[in-house]
Amino acid sequence: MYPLISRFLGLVSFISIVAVSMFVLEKSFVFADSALVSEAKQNDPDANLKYLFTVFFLVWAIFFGYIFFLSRRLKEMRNEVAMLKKIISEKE
Amino acid sequence: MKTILFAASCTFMLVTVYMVFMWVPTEQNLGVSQRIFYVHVPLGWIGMVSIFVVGIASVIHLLTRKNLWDSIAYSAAELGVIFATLILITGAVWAKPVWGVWWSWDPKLTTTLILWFVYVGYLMVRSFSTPGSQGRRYASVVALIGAIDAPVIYLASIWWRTAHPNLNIGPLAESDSDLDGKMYITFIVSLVTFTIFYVYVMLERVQMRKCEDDLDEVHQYVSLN
Repeated sequence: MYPLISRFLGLVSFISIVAVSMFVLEKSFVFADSALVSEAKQNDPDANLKYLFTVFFLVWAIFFGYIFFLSRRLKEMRNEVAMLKKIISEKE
Repeated sequence: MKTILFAASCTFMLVTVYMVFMWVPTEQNLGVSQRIFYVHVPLGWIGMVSIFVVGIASVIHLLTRKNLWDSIAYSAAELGVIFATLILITGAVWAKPVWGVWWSWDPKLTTTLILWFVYVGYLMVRSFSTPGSQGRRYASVVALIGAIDAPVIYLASIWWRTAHPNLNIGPLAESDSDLDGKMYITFIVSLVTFTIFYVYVMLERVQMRKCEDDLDEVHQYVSLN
């Protein structure tokens, strides 16, 4: 029963996030246009350095986050193996 | 093999960071923000490769019913979500200084967002279905829908009026590229770096997925006996 409830809650959360995202994106409906950016900002070579650092930071953060997720899953699997070994040895 | 790939990934990552920040010249029109290109395009490439891997592995799984192909498809979909998310994020961060907005309903961006939803949908189908072959088959069909979206993303800048820059890689890439020598070398090195990293993580994830399947079988065996 519990997994079913958690899956249902997961689905509801997912749909809510998608709905809110679509609403927010709909509100920011603007066609891309280079003219929106001032020339001065484009001509200053270091003006956009923060965007470059942001990209590298986010890419590395997500990579490390994923590797952390994998290492946690590996740890869980090791615990499961130890638990199964114990159950089998008790049955024997 | 995996140790070599891991070492190569680390080395190439460092080389790429050095080249992007220190070596490559700054583009005159876009300024420093153009350097995001060396991360964004390789991520896009990996996102495309991933959906093809998911699609091909799913077809082979549907034909042969071998679990190995399902493990490959699942692992590629999981990595695909990561890379598709990064494509959207890096694209948005690059769009802000260049287009003036974080997001635009441009055909290329919209079809990439659809690909992200397909990846998430694939993992959701796998997560919500009961253990067994049925969920795997349903997910394989979702993967095939995603595989149809991949060429649409690639050709979006040709088929529709789009603010997204022209194609840089693939069979339809423009031969008279705007990239100068150093820029082109940096781009190729970055592409190789992310591809090696993808292959390494993919091998690790497939192996882990096989272990997860084996563990599920043991769990079922223990619960039945």
